[in-house]
Amino acid sequence: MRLAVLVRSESIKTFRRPAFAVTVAALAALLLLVFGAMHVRSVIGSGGGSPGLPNAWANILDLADLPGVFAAILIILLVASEFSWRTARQNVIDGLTKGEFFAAKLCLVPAVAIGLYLALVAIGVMFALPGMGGHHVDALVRPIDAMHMGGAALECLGMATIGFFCGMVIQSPGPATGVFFLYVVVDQLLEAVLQGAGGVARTVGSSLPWGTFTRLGKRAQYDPGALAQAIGHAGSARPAHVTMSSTTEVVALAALYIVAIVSLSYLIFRKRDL
Amino acid sequence: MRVIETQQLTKRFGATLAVDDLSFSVDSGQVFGFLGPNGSGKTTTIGMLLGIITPTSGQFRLLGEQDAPGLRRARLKIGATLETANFYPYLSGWDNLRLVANIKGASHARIEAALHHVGLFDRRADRFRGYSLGMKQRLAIAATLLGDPELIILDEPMNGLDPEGMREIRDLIAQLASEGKTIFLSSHLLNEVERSCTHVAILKRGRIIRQASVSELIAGGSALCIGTDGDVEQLLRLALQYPGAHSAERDGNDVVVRLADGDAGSLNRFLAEQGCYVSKLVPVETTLEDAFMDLTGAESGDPVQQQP
Repeated sequence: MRLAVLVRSESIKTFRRPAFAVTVAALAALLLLVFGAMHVRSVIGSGGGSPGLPNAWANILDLADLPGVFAAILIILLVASEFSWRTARQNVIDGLTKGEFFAAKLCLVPAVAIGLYLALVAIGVMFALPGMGGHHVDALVRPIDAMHMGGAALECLGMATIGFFCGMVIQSPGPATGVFFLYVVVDQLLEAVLQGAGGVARTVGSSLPWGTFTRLGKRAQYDPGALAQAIGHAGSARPAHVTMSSTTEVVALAALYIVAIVSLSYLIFRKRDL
Repeated sequence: MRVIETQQLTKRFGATLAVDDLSFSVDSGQVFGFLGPNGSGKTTTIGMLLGIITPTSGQFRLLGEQDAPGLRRARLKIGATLETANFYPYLSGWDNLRLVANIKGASHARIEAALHHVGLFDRRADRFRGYSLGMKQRLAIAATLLGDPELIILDEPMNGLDPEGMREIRDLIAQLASEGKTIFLSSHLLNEVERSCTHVAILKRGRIIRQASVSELIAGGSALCIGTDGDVEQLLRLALQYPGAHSAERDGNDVVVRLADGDAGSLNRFLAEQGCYVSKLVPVETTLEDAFMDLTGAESGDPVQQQP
């Protein structure tokens, strides 16, 4: 496996791709808008502004769904286009093995997911810095924030992996994006239906891939206070994401899903002719 | 040296048999034309050789290599393009070749040389999507040259080109052949293959129906123009009865007979034995197209052409 060759090729392809610049710019604009709106609401509501660090981490990281979804779409565009342009086929003709081509595309998943996640953190911190004033804080990142950070990163990675599966299996950007969003809706509907059934079905409902990844990005997963608040907001119709399971279990399940999705993608890709 | 050798290569897509028990070989230095109508299995065969389609059964060797690691090494010494020129539309010609060079381990100097070779150096900074069809094909050929290949495989390189573009590609192929490269050219443009190739294999419905040198094929499909002072209809009827006749058709006051064996004397003797004496017996120059039509028509079981 010529990893350096693969990484060099993918970086040339990705950074020169207009879709990459457009997606990153769109995410940045959306995050600026969301954080800006939150800041204005804080100013109007409390007369202050956005909270400073470390209190701001909860608000920042709770938005990890956004870079997660953008990462999934960007991965679909980067992966599926290789098939519609037939460059996947040409790469193999030129000398890559199918395994190397797959690995090259797989390298994009963590790179894009973590890259967009860091964009969320950077823009969120930018809005949080004025809120710190000159106040002394013991730690900018508390243990609970560190856990939330890790979980949110894993959420982005998981969502990007679902995008990777759609792009690799459907092999056409438009339909793959459609199927991705359809899956998100179906996963959430199924979760809602199973939640109402109770018992084992409830456990299954709260363990579906999208719900599992989403839960990792929510403060309620790590903070009993936030959980109680979420339960209070939800009332009797308590959705799965406010049902705290052991974080270790959720992380393990998410990791298992990521490995399973990547393995299934590879098996399907390997079997297909280019 | 055998550059390509296939044995009973077969590919089935569900119920469709795309390539059926294909055995052929290409020797070093040949410009080998792989001919066949659309859907005859040319691209599928090349896809199997290049590792992007998995054969259902059969074997092949590339540059003497047969096992998976050997084939991978061999493929690095092959420059190939399949159907259309497959590049990243948003990248420049130069960047597209950089990607190929990166895979093949070729230097920037080779990219420059390849672009000069195909006359695209001055347009290297333009995006691929802005290239004309001819420029796209030339870039594809430049990409095949990057690894200093021993074998160049070109699938329908003249598809969609205007006469000027075709001439450019033909000249390039001739130039590469003169440099000692083995060229495997798939096409259904018989004129171009006749002009460019030294050897051909003719494919129909996934099967090789003939493999020979171009000169042998043209000679083998020889035709005669015969005339008589007597009854032309009788001459046509007898010519059709001749066992060695592939086809016979009337051409004004003459009859054109295509012979499977090229034995004009035998035909003349047969006609004389039937009481028909010819006053004219002239060889007709046969083209690859004539030979191809004869072979593909005969193989499909189509009736022998009879035109009064």
